[in-house]
Amino acid sequence: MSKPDVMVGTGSNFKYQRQWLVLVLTAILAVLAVTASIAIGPVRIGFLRVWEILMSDNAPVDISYQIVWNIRLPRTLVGCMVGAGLALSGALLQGVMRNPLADPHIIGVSAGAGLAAVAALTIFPQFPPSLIPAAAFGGALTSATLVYGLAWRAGVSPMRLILSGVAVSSLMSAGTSALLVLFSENVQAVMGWLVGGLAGRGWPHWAQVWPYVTVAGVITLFTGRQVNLLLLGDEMATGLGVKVEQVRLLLIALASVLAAAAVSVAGLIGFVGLVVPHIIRLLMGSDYRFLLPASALGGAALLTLADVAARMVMDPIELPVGILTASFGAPFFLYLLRRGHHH
Amino acid sequence: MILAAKELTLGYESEIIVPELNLFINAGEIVTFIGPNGSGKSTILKALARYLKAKSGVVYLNGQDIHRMPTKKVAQQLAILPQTPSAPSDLTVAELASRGRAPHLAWWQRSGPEDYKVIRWALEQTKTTHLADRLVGTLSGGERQRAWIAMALAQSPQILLLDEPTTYLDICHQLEVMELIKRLNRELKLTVVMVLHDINQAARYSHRLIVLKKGRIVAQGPPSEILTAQLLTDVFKVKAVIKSDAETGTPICLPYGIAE
Repeated sequence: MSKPDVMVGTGSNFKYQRQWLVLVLTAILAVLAVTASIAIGPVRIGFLRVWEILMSDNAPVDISYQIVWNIRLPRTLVGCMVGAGLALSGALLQGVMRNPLADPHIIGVSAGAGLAAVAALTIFPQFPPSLIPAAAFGGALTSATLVYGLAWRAGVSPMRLILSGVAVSSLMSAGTSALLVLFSENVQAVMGWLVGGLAGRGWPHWAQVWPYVTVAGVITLFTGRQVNLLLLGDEMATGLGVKVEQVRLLLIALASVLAAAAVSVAGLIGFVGLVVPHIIRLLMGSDYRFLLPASALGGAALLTLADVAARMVMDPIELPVGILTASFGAPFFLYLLRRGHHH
Repeated sequence: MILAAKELTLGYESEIIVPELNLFINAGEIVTFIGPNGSGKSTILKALARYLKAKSGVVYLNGQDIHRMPTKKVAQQLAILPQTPSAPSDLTVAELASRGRAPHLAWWQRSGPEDYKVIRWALEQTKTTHLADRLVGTLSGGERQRAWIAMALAQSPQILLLDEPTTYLDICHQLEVMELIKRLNRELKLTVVMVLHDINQAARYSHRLIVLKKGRIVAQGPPSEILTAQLLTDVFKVKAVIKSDAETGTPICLPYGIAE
């Protein structure tokens, strides 16, 4: 974070204070969401008790302890990684494309993950379930590489990237649909994966997702200034000493890895990657040095809270969290958009 | 010679727009490219700014091949202002100006007191200090152009490249921007290379004009020496009379018809 640009101005500008405020609030929200996610369930555990179990070395190993460590903590952590990964990926892509409607789907990540996972589930019924995330991850990255490669023509323009993404995604989705029709007996398992959710996610999923999201996420947090310069246009960014093509490739690669890791363990959760960076931008502005960390925290918080809701609203039936993120996110998003127009 | 092009061939795909161009810019000059649409003015400016890669030939900045220099080093010496730059809607003038410091910062460095001094100076030079906290998107055309020039100045460059800096501005704001460029050239010894559509403005504010037709230089030199009725007919296909401005002595062209 740099010192406030405000120091240069003379008037009152509270942007810098607001950026920090939103960042702190998203962090607090994320902590609360994690606590709630671990506390709430068929067996209620007090908020303080949750942290006692997590922090204390000599907490009694009772039923609560078992539930926290074996079920709710890994599921919650996976949710945090998925939410943060999707939101960071969306924020990066919106910056790279200079298009507020960009999200992880646009570079073919979701369609690629979907096709690979569905192929594994249908064509190879004996495919070990524990390797489905790895297959999805591979499919996602393959698809993103294909999109980038097809868009390349002495450089990659955001418009060609979007078009290429749409084309590749349609092709992959067609493949997925074909497999669903041909292997209709497996539709139940496949639908469960495609809709996306956190049900039954545990430590193995955590092991699959955290290394990618952590490494790519940490690198991403250092790219804020470069994205800020890209937002001034390719020509201006070049004039300011940015190696535009190299930086764009790096950012797209980071976005692909983040989204691929997320969808590989949680399936196709929509909306988080689109809406979280957007909400953060409406709250604090588009300075990517702040937008990126706040999006990561906001994404983790939103997905975790949505998962709590997914477990509660139709108790004892659990809803897929993707349905929740869409049905709560969309109206809120529209509200913010309408409000944002007034200033 | 602060900036030079040697046998520069420019184009897109298989189409060649500028064949084997040679030109040089001296330190402290204001040089303006004029020419009809499609004559390659903006293309040449983009190549001088290293934004467009040449098909062949070299651009030299202070004697060094511009594509072999670290791009940040180039950005410390040469600033560009594209025709229609874009800025996020919530960007303030001070923030915009601070972006100009990017070439002087390594990726781990934050802006320091020195940088803020330069940013303040750039705002003062462009008379935008009072606009520092305004959003770039809410400024008038002339104010916005000054804010972008402030950003370019914050780069502390030796050379400023401007692509049609007065297009879309009303006459008063046009003059304001041109006067600002003239003052920066005189007081800061800033070398200015620009593309202008308005021949009279170009004549009034430039030390040297470079007249282009189909990617080739057809005339170059001080405006009073090269601007003739014949040249305007040859290059722009207009009939015009050339007068001399009583106040400044610079030539003024008054087109009165289309040459067949």
